[in-house]
Amino acid sequence: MIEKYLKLHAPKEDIRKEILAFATWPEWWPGLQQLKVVSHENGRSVVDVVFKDPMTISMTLGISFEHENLITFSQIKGWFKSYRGEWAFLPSPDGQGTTLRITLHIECGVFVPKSMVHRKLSHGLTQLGDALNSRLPGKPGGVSETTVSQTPTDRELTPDRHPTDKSRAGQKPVHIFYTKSGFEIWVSGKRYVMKSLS
Amino acid sequence: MSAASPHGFSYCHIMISKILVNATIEQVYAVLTDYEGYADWAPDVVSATVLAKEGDIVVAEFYSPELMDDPYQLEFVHSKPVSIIYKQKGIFEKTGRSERGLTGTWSVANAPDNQGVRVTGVMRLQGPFRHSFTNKKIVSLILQRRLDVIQHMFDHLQPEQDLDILPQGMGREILDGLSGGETQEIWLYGSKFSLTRTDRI
Repeated sequence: MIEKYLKLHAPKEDIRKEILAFATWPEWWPGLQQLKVVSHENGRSVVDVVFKDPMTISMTLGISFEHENLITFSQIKGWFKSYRGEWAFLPSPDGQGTTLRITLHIECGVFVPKSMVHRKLSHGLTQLGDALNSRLPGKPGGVSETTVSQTPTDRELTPDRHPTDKSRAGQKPVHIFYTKSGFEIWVSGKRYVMKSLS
Repeated sequence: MSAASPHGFSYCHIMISKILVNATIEQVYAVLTDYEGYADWAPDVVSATVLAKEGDIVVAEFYSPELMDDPYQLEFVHSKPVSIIYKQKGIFEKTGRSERGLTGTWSVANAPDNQGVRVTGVMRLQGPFRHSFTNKKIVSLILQRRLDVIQHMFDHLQPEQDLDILPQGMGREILDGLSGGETQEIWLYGSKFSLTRTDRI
């Protein structure tokens, strides 16, 4: 099982609306090449999807969205032995935006290394969160018209969530420790050792 | 203390460290459970965001570049006010008998003879074997440094103050390099200072 939490800047209603607009997924979902809506009834849809990232994975997914705070999905047929999960909408603890909890249960074939698949899927979920944040309105650096026209694989994801950017690093206090071998200084979360040259 | 044991092509390091703190259990527990505060006091943590709270369970995302290349998510389970158990989320968790990624506990208890509070930190990291030797050292150091700061935070509890003199042995150029502006917050030997740039050397 993989469980990942995504901090999204938009209200739940906007996120839900974006996710349920299945036909637009290829415009923003990283690695998703094709999507065809097979059926769409009250509270349930069936879609054919093709991912390429880097290998091609085709699936038919059943998606249920009857509940306001939960969207569930499962593979009807496709590459995985089994593939199911849910998107749960949780209130953000700071009252701003929404936390999306994504849970995935997958089973692969015997000869497929599970850890590699899990690592790839986990990384994909992080990219998905960044793509959703860029897609959704109401935040600085929201998606531009130029970005919309790009395919997800062409788009460079430069999320504002990544903490290595200078603005955040500059806010981190410096920590200094005195050790037997000299000063140990932590700057932006990284450790340096300063020794006297004299 | 550390222990390393190979599990196939992975490693497992368990680090345990203890300190005595001149504080109450509740004070220490409040620091340990203020997860967004880690970005301020924990030397290795650059950013921390609480993602979800449900009763005694909290999920937070941290970025600690010395510990992991990318931000990681931890789920904390609180047993107020004496212990916190955490484990990493969003990763391939099971490898046969053991869990991968970062797991650990914080425990807080009264020390014997009313000598303050004993804080015990346990960090367990399991991952690909190729990283094992680097990780063993850094995990141990990070745990120790976090405990060092907690200890000094209470032993030398004092308001933020201006640091008028530079620490002996530190060059002015290096301090200038560390400072992003006219004033920079620094933690020196576990106490917090406001470092203001002046013309005097």
